[in-house]
Amino acid sequence: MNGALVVPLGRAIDWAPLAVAAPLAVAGAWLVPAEFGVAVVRAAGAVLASAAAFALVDGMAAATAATPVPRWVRQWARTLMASLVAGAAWALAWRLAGVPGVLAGEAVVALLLALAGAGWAVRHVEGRAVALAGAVPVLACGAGTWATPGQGWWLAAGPLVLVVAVAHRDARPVRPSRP
Amino acid sequence: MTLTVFELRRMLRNPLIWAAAVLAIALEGVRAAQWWPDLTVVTLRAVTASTLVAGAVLVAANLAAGRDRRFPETLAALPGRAPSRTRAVLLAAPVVGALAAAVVIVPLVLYGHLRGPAAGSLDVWEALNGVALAALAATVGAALARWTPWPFTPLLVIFAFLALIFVNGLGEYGGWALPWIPLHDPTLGPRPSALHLLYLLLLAVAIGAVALLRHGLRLVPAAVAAVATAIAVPAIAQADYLPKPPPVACRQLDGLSFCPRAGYEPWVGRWAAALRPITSAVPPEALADMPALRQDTFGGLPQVWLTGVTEMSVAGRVATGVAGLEGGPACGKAQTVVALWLTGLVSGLEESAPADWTRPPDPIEKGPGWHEYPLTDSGRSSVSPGRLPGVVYDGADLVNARALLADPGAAVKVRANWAVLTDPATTTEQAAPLLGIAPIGGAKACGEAE
Repeated sequence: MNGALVVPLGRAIDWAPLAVAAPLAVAGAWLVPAEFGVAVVRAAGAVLASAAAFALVDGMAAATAATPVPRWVRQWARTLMASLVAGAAWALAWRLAGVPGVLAGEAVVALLLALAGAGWAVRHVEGRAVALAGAVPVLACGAGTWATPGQGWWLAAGPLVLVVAVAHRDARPVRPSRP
Repeated sequence: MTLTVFELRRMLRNPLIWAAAVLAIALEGVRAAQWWPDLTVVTLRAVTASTLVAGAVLVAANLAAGRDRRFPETLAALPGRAPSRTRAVLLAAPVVGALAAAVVIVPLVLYGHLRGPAAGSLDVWEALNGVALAALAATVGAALARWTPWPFTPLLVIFAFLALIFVNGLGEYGGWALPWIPLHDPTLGPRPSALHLLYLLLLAVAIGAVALLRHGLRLVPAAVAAVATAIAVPAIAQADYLPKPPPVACRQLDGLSFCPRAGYEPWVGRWAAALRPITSAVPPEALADMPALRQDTFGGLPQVWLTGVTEMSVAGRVATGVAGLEGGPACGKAQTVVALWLTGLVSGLEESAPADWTRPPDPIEKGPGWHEYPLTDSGRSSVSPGRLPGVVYDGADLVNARALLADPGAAVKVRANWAVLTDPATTTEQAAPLLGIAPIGGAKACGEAE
């Protein structure tokens, strides 16, 4: 990955959701009383993950298919850029709230769930709104497991990276069809 | 009208809404199975679960109302204009949302009812709050699509609502003006659920009118929004908990006196059944001095009952009273071993159970042997098997009690020697021949961590 890829992609990404979510997460962790620190940091993980998912939407997907850079490289570059921003915002919120580090595994899984959901959706449907699909697995998992943070979340990270990789793979076979 | 029917049909087929409904029923059903049914709490939990559907409806309505902005070229040729499309979504989405919420709430409440004997009372207005919440979510989704055509805003609203539920669960900030207060403290009295339902419906109407106002300042929607707000705000401002029901009389069962809160009488039989391993193991005179078990914060009986955990706390309380333990250091006493054995009859004495002085676990990771113990719908404490309130014992007492628990004839021996065993002067060493165990002694002074 070099500047020729990062700069145009950085300009193409819809940063608005992260631009809203990141200050909200940091401000929340900073302003809310310490007793709610854990709840705020967990919520921040979910919000930032859902916001990061919007980075995967390629408004020019039909046209960029012709670029020399394969789709999987472009999608992973988008993934990394959004993850860095979301991760930095989460780390800052976590630091400000002063809560245990055990929550990190859960936040990483939330991010991967959002990226997997949105990554899968943008393969099939066009438009910004499909990135909402990133929030669906995050909210569905959150609804079921809110009460149990812990190290066990890291176990889910490996398989989820694979799911994201499958979603990011090239949209059509690279080999040209026979004439 | 045709457009409304179209939106209605389209939304009825929306997989997101029905997946959320199935998920909500499954998650809340599994969770509820671990608790004794209390219809007041069951209704609240069912409505809280149905907010998952409300979230899905919010997104679905948002996508439906924003469809013409996402694909403007395909809709430009249609005869209907934007206001009629907004109106169609505003009429269709709340109906589907209310239906889906009802599909979640009705089976969950029925499940609580059928599992019986259920305490508390079914408040139909409370259940309808969930239906109204889904309808409100639908109008909010439509309004957001018209005023903020940006797909991230519905998510922000959903997360803001979640933050309110988890951080502000008892409605500490905002009170009844909040769309939903998920937790309930029964000591405050019944909730003003009918008034809150009216508030939610008026709010839904007002927000629907606001969505229509995006298409120009028209008299009818402006007047509807103003009137609905003018009724809703003063109405909810004076909402307060209703008068508490009068207290009910205590009931004697199995030699114990149970004092339930009003509405919890059906649980007296279950409480007695849970404690029957103790009441049937000890001689009747041992129960005579036992103070009544009251369903309040320090009375021994909690407001809720989580199967497998609550037994530990209640058994510890009864065992302490029955064995005549006073509180304070009691290591190496036969009395302590008998009390621990009695709790073990109810809830077992798992190997990881810590002795009493062990610090309770931190709020995120429970220590081994510790369980989160719910006092009320919202209040939490910690409990471990064998915990005798106020009594200090050590690991050796737990080992001796486990040895007694392994003996099938222990109940006969304890009953035959009850007076000696519960004498505060009798040590475990002296009582060992009576109990038929080979006792071990504590390594450290009583109350010191090993």
